[in-house]
Amino acid sequence: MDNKLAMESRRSVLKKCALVTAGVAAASVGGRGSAPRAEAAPLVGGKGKAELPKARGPRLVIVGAGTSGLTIAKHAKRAYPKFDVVVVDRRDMYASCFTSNLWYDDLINLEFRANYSFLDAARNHKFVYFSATATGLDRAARRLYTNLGEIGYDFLVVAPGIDYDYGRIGVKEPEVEYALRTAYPGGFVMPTEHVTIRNKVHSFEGGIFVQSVPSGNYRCLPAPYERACMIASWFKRKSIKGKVLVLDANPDITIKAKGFHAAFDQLYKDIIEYKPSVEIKSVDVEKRLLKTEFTSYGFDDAAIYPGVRAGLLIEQMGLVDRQSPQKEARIDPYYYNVPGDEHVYVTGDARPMPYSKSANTANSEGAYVAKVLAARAQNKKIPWESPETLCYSMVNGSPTEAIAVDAHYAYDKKTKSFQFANVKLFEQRDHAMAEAYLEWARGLFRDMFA
Amino acid sequence: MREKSVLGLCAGLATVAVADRLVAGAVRRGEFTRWAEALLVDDAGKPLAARGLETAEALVFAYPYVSTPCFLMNLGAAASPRELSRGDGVSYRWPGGVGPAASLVAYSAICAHQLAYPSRQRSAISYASGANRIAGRSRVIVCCAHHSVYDPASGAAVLSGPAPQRLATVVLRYEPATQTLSATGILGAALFDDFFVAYREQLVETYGPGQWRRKVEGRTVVTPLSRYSKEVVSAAGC
Repeated sequence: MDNKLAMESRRSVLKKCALVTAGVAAASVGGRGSAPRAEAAPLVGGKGKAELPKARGPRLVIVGAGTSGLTIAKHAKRAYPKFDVVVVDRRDMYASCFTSNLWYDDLINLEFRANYSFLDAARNHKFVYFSATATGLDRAARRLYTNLGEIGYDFLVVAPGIDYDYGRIGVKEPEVEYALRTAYPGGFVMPTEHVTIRNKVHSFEGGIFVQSVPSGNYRCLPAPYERACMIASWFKRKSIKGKVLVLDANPDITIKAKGFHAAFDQLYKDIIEYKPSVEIKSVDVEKRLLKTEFTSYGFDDAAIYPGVRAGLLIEQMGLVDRQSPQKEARIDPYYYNVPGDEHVYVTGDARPMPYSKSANTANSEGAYVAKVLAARAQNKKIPWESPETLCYSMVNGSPTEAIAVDAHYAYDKKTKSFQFANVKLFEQRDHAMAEAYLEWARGLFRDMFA
Repeated sequence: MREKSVLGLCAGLATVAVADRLVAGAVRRGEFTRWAEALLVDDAGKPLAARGLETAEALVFAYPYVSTPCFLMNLGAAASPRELSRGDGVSYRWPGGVGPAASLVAYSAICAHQLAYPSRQRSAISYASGANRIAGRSRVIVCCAHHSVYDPASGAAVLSGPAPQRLATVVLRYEPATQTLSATGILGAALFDDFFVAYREQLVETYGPGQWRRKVEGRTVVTPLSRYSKEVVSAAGC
């Protein structure tokens, strides 16, 4: 049943994507040195095998070369060198989402976040990097479809990250959604959004800059507040008469509240205005108005963070949990496989467990899932390990000062859900944590790429 | 002699019986690797006197490569020898502290988690002789990047944090007559190959092409961490 759904879903997606992917596929095929094709028919995946080196061991295919996918690729190969690992990602250039806020205040340059090569990662960690778009899944045949052909697998990890859910801020029309995605991007999915936001901040000449915060388990809980600090720090540094208006759907700052409130009050008293419990119900893009049930907020510029959902691919592949409000995957919460199928796994921010959707979570979880895969390939079992969320937030740009939280997770039988465990909060901002923050990021980059 | 071949030899000798259980680990994890001996000297070139060595912060020296820094610490109390488990059923003997009070120990300063290390620009890994909030105790090596905590009194066992293994020990020889210290080899799993892959660009820039992989020969200079790295994220403060 699941499989049938997946196939159906794939067909409809293929139809939708045909126009987009045809151009990509044609260009890629041409680039790979094939003879020109006589027929004009677009080549869309599913026809024939992908051109890959022959598998020399159990094939582990990983969709998504983000923190989760790259961590798993490296550590699975180390834990079980017989694995033949293939990483599939439509991106051909990397730029991190983590630390992107620091870029808005020029505390780091773009190189810090983007000077990392998928090719180096593939060579260093002995996997095949295949730049293609995943288009469908046939779990019965253990076959992944891409726009550059199909790939058979013994184990498949799907780690597509998140997509936005504009429905959560009352946006139903595709035209409005498109206008928002383009003019006021959230800055939590595509690297190109970060460039847009930085350009906005650096060309801002005064007025109100809105940073919205969604409800739900959105990607990187402290990030919208950290971004407010970084934008405010930039305004301060450049003497821009701007205000950062933080419109939060939640009743209070969702994490490290004490540290953020202190920064808002002590460092940016006249710059940041924080409004809790502001649930955006609709957006008037033309008039630049965010509307709640009772009032509306005007803005000169904005980064509008709508709700999040698991990467669309999860739904397209038929892996979604239909009960999940954020359309996350249905998987075993301890071992990450699709129930009844020990060949398919979902990791990273598309997971349904209520862990913080952050890079450190994906990295520590990835190191564990790599061990699960290595064990499964050898018919062994390993005990569950909690991921760890060690998460820094820069609250001051000059001098640099950060706050942090370090947490694990434990299953609570009473509430039948995972809760934070062993939480350590470091909410007194200081410079040492700002330096540790940078080394934290460098460490993640090293783990993923070197 | 190349590190790999030495490790391979050690692993081959020590692990014949369990070879099929080790798979990936066998080549990577030799127990003791003998390297060219190096006398520890101060920055004036004089042999470092083991008596009365600094106890507040770690001292840094390069070993066995010019680009791989190690920490030397005076723990203020004797560190007894003990059996260390390698995690795969094999154990090996850690010799404990050396010096007049058997309180001097040395370890590779490359964090076993994600390879943070003391460079000339900065260090996120350091030794805290006093109490610190991450470890909740004193006399620990802390990597501030991801909060890995190691116990220098017990072969740098991981006390908390994400590090998957202990730091490699630098084996020291102490000459009571002259009060001198020499590094003689590495005990446990060093991560030099991973380190060179991760930092190659930086090492070429710092040490020059071909120079970064030179081995330390004869002597190695010992410098307090606060002077070795421009910016230290101190374990005492992070």
